[in-house]
Order: sequence, then structure tokens, then C-alpha cells
Amino acid sequence: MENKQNQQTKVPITRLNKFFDDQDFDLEVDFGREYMEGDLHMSVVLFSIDIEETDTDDVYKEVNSENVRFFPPVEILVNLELVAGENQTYNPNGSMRYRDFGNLTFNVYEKQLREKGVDIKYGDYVGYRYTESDMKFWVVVNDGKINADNEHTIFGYKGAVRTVECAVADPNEFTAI
Amino acid sequence: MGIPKKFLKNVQLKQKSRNHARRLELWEEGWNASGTFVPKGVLYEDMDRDFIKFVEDDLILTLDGKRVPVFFLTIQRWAEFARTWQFTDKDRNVQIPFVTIVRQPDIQFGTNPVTQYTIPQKQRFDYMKVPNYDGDSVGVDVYKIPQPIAVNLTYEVRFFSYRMREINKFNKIVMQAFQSRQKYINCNGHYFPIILESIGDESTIDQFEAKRFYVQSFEMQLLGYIMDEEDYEVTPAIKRVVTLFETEPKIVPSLNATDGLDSGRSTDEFTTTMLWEVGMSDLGSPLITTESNPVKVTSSALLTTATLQNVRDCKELSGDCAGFSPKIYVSSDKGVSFGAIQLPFQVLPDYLLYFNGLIIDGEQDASVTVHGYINKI
Repeated sequence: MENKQNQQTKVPITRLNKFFDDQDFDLEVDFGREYMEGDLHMSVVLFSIDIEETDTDDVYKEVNSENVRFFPPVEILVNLELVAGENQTYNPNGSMRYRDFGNLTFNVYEKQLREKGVDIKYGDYVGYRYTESDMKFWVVVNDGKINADNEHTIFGYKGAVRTVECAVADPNEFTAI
Repeated sequence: MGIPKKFLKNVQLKQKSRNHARRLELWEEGWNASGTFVPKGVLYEDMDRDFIKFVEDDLILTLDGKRVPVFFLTIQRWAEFARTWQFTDKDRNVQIPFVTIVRQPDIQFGTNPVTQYTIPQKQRFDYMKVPNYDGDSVGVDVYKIPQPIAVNLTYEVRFFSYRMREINKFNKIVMQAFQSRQKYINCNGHYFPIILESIGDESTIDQFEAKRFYVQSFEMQLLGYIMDEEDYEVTPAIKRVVTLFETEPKIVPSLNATDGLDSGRSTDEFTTTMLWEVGMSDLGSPLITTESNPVKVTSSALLTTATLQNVRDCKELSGDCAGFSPKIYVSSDKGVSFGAIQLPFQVLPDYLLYFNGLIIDGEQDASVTVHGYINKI
């Protein structure tokens, strides 16, 4: 059963055509990228999982951190927000305290991803170097693939930015170093 | 068009086994599954694997010529993606319809009445005896296994669909599979029942302003048990062995002996005399004794005969013989105790000898001389 939404028929976008077109869109994207990638210059490293090479468990399809295989890491320039982690305990009675990093959310221009030939998928890992010597990893829980909403388009013309949400990944789950 | 009468859809070419034959067949299945003499172990992962297989094979649903995918889900996000990516659309969303299986992580002690808490402390029991050969002798290995531990595994199977017709189809398949309330699966040669506990509905029909789809949930419980192959024990059985020894005594044979005698061999005679002299203590005439003056044996010897002087030879009781005469006594503990003997008798150095007997003439001395052959032990 072919999903008609997946058909590759291309129809020109004619909305806002009196004052906005594809060239304007590209110009706006370039302005935004100059700010995000040139001025802010905050970067994360994308570790995209190689599904075929990763040796998974037969029944559960789970892997240990040392068995995860990923494509060559790619540095992505983003605008990110790292929220504070909560002070929590493993036991419900308040014992075995821990505090980890909070969730990481970042915006990235789609054009940059296309230029670098990468995509961000659910379950991929993202590394963020928070000091000169330390890198922490997060796992993608929302790849922001659908970005046709107002917030992620430029004047509603077309999606330009993806917002990717990530949850902190334990070293037992993934470590690239 | 109706099917004609006596039309057989499934022809049984081989008659099914029953009763004892079927039990043997099941036993052999266990054998074949493990390839050894003991049943193959079964753990949680095996049960999960075969439960997934059961859903994929027995609850199979085909819509528009496409098989509805089944996903067994754990908490690893990447694992979820690894299972579902083939069935996602351009936006990486899994396309409905699909079936998900989630196993509740908390496995409980089992309620299967076949295996309850009956045997304490992992006591192992003889399962079977397997003949072996160690190159020298034929023996037996005893295979022991403990009582399996009954466990209940609860699975939540959910079917997601946009259409009532598809929900009906899947529900019908499940109902048919569980028409006898339980469905058995073969897990490593062990048969476990799966019971359909409940059917629920989690459809989002009431979401007026959101995506709506049907979700039918089935809670199933697998009544299994675990058998860890690490707990099996193989021990050699007790062997009953008959060991024969051929020995050769170093005793110089007596003159009466004929077996293995070398005619050229010489023997040394041994003689000692127990003398009673007139005036020595007696036991009341005519019974005399040399107990007060025992003779000391000087070498190892086999005593064979005795000659009497002035002593009656009474081997049986009669009118002339009021008692047995002579009776020879020997002490091996330097006179602490004596015991009566009969010839032939082996003596060693430092043994003491005396006799009791009936004297013929109380006015004369009497003696008993024992003869034999010196030997070495």
C-alpha cells in the first residue's frame, strides 16, 4: 500500500509570492546561519548510529555502549539550550542520590545538515563539549523532522530550522571516547 | 460454495501418538532440542523470543497483502529505532497498523500448578543414567537436575489501527488462538501455556481535536519455568569392581603338603616336650597338668603331631576315658591367658605350651612331645 504522502511530485511554492520567494528564503536562511554559525558558533557533535554494523542482541535488539557502531562524527553548529539537571534519588525513600545533566535542546538549520550530508534520527547520540576536556552525550528523543509549523518556518514559507530535543545518555548506554 | 461431505482439508498421513508413546515423544523432543541427554535449559530470554515468535507466527495478520509488523519494545531508544525504521514513513513515523509487545519487567513466581514450591534448597534429582566408557571399564554417569522454578511473565500486546474492520480481524485471530483459554508454546523443548488474561481498549476515539486511532490491548500471561543449565550436575555413578589377587604364601609347606613341593627342598624338624614329673601339682588323680611349668616355644613352627609317654590317648569319651586326653593349651601373650588347640597348629617364638591329661601310672613321669616343622612367616 503506497503512502501517497510519500510521493515525490514537486509543486512550486507560490504562497507569499508577491513579496517573498525562494531567493528571499535563502537570503533569510543565510542571515540566520551567519548569526547562529558565525556569531554564536556553538557546536555539538552528531554520532549517527550505523544500524547495519551495530551488533545487536537477537531478541531485544539492545546493545552495550562498546558495541554501538556509528558513522564518522559530524560537528554541527547550533543554537542550544541546556537546562539544569534535577537533584534526584534512585530509591523512592530518598537514598542513592544522583544528579545528571538536564535535557539538551538545539536548533539547527536544515541547510547545514544538507551541506554536511547528515540527518538526525531518533536514537542518535549527540555530544556537547562543556569544558575544554569534558564531553557529555545525549540521545535524540525528538528529531524535529517535521518543521512546517510557524515557529520553524520563515514567514510560513517553508521549514528552515529543526528543533532537536535530547535526553541525557548514561555512559553505560553510549560513549564515543 | 459449500464443501462436499467427507471432504478432508487436513489429511493425517501419520497417526498421532497417544498416552505413553506421546510422553516418550515429548521426552525425545527435549532431547533433540538440547542435543544432549539432559533437557535444554530455558531462561527468560528464551521465553521472550518464543513469545515474540508466537505472536508473529500464530497471531499473524495480513492486510492488503502486507504482513502487519510486530515490535517488541524495550527502553532503549536506539533499539526501538532499529526495529521500526523499515516501517517508517518520510517523517520517520511508524505507519499504522502495527502490533507492539511490551513485557512487564517484574517477573513473578509462577502459578503453574505443575511446579510449585515443593522441593527446598535446589535439591538435585537423578534425571537419567548415561553409560560411559573410560577406555578401561564401562561405567555410568548420573545426570542430576534441580526442580524448575515456576515463573509468570506478563506481556501486553497492543494492536494499533485506524479501522474497525482491522480490529475485528485481529481480535478474531486472538480469540481463535485462545478458544481453550490457553495456548501452548514450545520453548527449547518445554511446553508452556499462555493465558489470555484480559482484553482492553485504549483507543483515542474521544480525542476530538487530535489524531484518532484504535488501540486494542491484550494482556497475556506465560506460565513458564526456568531451568538453568549451570545448575545441572553430572556425577559418576558408583562402580562395583571385582578385584582378584594371586598370592603365594612364604610358608614352608609341611611334609603332608604335596602341591608345589620341590622334592629337593629340605625341612627342619621342630620338637618340644611338655614334662610332668612325679610330685608336681595335679588336678586330682588321674588328671595331671603342666600348667605350672609351661614350655616356651623357641622358633616359628607348624605343629602337626604329638607322641605320648605315660599319658592316655583319649580322643573320645568311654569307660576307660573319663575325659579328653591330652589337651594342649597355648598362650600367645606370655602366659596371661591360655587356649586349647588342636593339631596342626602354627606357633611362634615365645608362645607357651602346656597340657592336661590322664596319667596311666601315677608313680612315673609323664610327657607329651609335639612335633612339627620350622617355618618362617
